[in-house]
Amino acid sequence: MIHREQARLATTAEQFMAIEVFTELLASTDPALVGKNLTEQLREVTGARTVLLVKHPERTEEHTLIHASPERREKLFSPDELELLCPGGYPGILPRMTLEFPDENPLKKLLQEKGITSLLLFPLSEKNELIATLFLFDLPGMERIDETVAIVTRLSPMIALSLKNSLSHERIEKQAAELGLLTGKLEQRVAERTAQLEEANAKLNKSLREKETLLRELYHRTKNTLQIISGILKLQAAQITKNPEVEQLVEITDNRIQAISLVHQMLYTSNDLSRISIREYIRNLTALILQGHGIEQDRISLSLEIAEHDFLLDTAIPLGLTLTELMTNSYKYAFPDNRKGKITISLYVDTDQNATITYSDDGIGVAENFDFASQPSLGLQLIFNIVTEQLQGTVNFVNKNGLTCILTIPKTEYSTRI
Amino acid sequence: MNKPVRILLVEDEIITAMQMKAELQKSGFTVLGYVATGEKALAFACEERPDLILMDINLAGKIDGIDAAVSIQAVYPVPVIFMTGYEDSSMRERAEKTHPLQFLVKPVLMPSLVSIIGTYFNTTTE
Repeated sequence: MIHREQARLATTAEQFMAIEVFTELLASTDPALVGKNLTEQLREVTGARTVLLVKHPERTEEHTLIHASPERREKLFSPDELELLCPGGYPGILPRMTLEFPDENPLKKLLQEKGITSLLLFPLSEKNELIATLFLFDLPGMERIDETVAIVTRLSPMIALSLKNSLSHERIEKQAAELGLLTGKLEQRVAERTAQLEEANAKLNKSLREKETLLRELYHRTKNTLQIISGILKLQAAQITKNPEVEQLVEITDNRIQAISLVHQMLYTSNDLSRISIREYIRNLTALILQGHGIEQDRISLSLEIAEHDFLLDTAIPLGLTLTELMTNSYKYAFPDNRKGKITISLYVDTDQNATITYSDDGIGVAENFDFASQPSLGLQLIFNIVTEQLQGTVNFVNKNGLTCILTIPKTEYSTRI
Repeated sequence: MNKPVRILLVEDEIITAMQMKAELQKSGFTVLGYVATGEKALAFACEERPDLILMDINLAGKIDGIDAAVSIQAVYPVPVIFMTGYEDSSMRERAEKTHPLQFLVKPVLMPSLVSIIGTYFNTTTE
């Protein structure tokens, strides 16, 4: 009868504990809480003096205590002692009673030092992976020890599974936290770098604006300086008693100065500080020369067909000087005795970036077999030298129905300098 | 009397080149010609073998005056006087490798240029 009653009580206790333990175990994803519930329940049910749950190390870590019941016993073993105690720390199967340990086993001394007289050890494995080890020390009444072993052995696969789940959960949470931290750090670095880049960009923009301002100022001053030179020239000429040759010299020279000055004037008002619109330049330049010569438009009219292209300063200035010389020649020689006439200038650029400029007047033309290239006149020398040498182009004169000059110049001979 | 020094002028501002040519000739030198690119300078120098090259550094075309001088000196040893609108240290360092007779910053003062050329050719030909 007594045995049956004991068996019934054991079954009830086992069921009760199983329900309690698993309710708690399944309700928690925190391994520390799982360990606390498990060790406390087991201690209560088995009457063990101490229950320890020790986590099996992953990779190279050491064994770590998940929980001790009672909690004051958590320092019962030092980390080194835990290593000795856990599976792998000693050979063979351990006896349940400390006294039964062989004397040469260092655990015997350790357990005796700690005042431990008996122990039960349960490896908790899940799919052949050791998760943790459960220790029960100093069980009261060794007659119930088989019952306790049976209960815990039966429960251990489920305990191992719950523990593994909670440990995995903890690991994932830890990784998520680390990831969150890393993300936070990364975001902070991105924000810092963005701020640095914005600052550098602002400095760069400021520097660029300063450079632009400086260049505009420089072009402005160059234009003003050229105007001063023009002024000095005219003032000096005015000191000389009326002399048509001097007047002509001053006028021609001033036209040349104005052709250069106009480019600088257009550059400091232009969006692009290296290039100007060749259409606008030729329109302004021809109007200036017309005014400079004091010729009414109804006597010599001007027809322009200029394609819209931007020319570099290095090409625009020599081209402007060439057109100035051509126009001066026309005004000087093509329309004698106040003849009426027309000057036509056209410009187009082909797909190879070669510009063709056709300049023509319908004046009296020149004598047959007139050799333009070998004339001593500075104007013609400038035209040939500027176009063939400086611009690497060609010059061709056609003496028919007035005079036509065809210039071809490569637009690509110079590259952007600023 | 020495044979006139034959000079090649490499300058892409043609008005400057024309004016320098006139001044040099007035001083008794022979200006064989002026060209505006390094490529033309090389071809001209190989053909005419001038005694001296007055070389602008920033030129039209693909190569600058320093590279042109290096190429010409690889063909025959010829003294070079560099002329530039502005100088910087790296340009100067590159130019120094060709052992130039002189490195002049524009505007080039004609009396001093004439004196440099005269001194060099008198001392080296006597």
